[in-house]
Amino acid sequence: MFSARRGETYTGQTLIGIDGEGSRTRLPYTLAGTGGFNQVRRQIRAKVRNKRAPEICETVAGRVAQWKRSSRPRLRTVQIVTATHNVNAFFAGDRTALAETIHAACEVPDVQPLAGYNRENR
Amino acid sequence: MHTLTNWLSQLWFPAMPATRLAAIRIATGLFAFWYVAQRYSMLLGVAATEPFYFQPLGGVWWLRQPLSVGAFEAIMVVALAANLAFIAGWRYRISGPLYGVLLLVLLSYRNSWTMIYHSDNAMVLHILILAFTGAADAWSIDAWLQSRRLARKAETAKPLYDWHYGWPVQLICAVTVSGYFLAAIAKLAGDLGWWWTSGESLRGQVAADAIRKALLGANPPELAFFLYDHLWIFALVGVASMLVELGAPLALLDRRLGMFWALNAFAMHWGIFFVMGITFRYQLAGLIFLAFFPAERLAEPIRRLFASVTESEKSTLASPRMGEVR
Repeated sequence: MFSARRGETYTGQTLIGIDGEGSRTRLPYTLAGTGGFNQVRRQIRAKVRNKRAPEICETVAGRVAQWKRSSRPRLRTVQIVTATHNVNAFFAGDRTALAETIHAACEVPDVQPLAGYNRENR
Repeated sequence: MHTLTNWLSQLWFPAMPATRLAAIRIATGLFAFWYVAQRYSMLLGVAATEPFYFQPLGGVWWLRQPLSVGAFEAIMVVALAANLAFIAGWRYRISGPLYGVLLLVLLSYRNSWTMIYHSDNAMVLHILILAFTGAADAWSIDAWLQSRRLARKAETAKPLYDWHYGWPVQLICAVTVSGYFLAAIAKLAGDLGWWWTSGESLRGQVAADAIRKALLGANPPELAFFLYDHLWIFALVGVASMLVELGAPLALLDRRLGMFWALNAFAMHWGIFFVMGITFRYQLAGLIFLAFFPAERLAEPIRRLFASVTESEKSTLASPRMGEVR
């Protein structure tokens, strides 16, 4: 338990949602799969390593599309990104990544809003 | 030599009440039922995951491809039914082993989709030990039926305080301490060796865990951010957890030492929960350590309740009500 050695930086995958104004939001792992945090995390990593990130991107974008029916932010694009963070800086409050690699980007598909949504939000 | 053999015999085959093994069976069985039933939908979701991720291991290593969701659900339903029979101790010679094997298959299958939940191993191994031993010789439907049969034939039941009930408890304890001891060996065999206890590595683990949670939109535990600058706390926790893990085998040598160790290991898991937000449920519930304690005493309040109810019924029958003629 907890025997692996860790370095000064941490590199991991993240799901990014971008709205029409270019603002970025970190998306929850639950959009990418089921089975608990660590299982989904490893599944995202497996897809990235096997150069199949676009598949997971489509899955996430499809699920984000359902958000349009709720009060969540209206996102236009989803990205699958590998980000490297300096651990000390991260814990000092600096959440800016040292490096980022975008493996896949895809548009959030248009989903016809529900009738109830139209009435309530227009 | 004779003394050593005696000592080993006493250590590994101590006489214990059948009710201790039965109490562990019931408590562990109840927990496992909750564990699987509560995850029913999630496990179905895992079974429906695309085959790309499937890497069979453990009890399902022989599978060439994933099962259909329907087949997996059927296994899960049968496992839950066998789980109930396991708890009740009904037709235990069949239901016990059946449940043990099905739980192994079920959780191995769940672990075959990129993530191995090692924390489940102890629970499965404990249940396998209980499933193949006399854990239903007391506090079970089988035992109740057996006592009725013997009463009819006016025969005496076999003793319920025997080494037959001691060695499975010792084996459960041995499996438990092995897991912790192996964790210590893994740390010491790594690049850092004894330097692992300096706290740097543990802090690195906590930090990595918090960052990966933040990256994937899960909530990193607040305590991790508070503790990060206090390396000495991680050093203290590192030394303490190394002592608990490396000293685990000592817990087998003496019952009191075993209880002391179990309480420390239990506290360690709650510490992990608060700092890392990791929920090792079987460990946090304390059930992994139950075999180190006289578990049969858990049922003492229920026994007292039954005794008081029976006593009050007897006294009601003994004293006739006003106007009643006996």
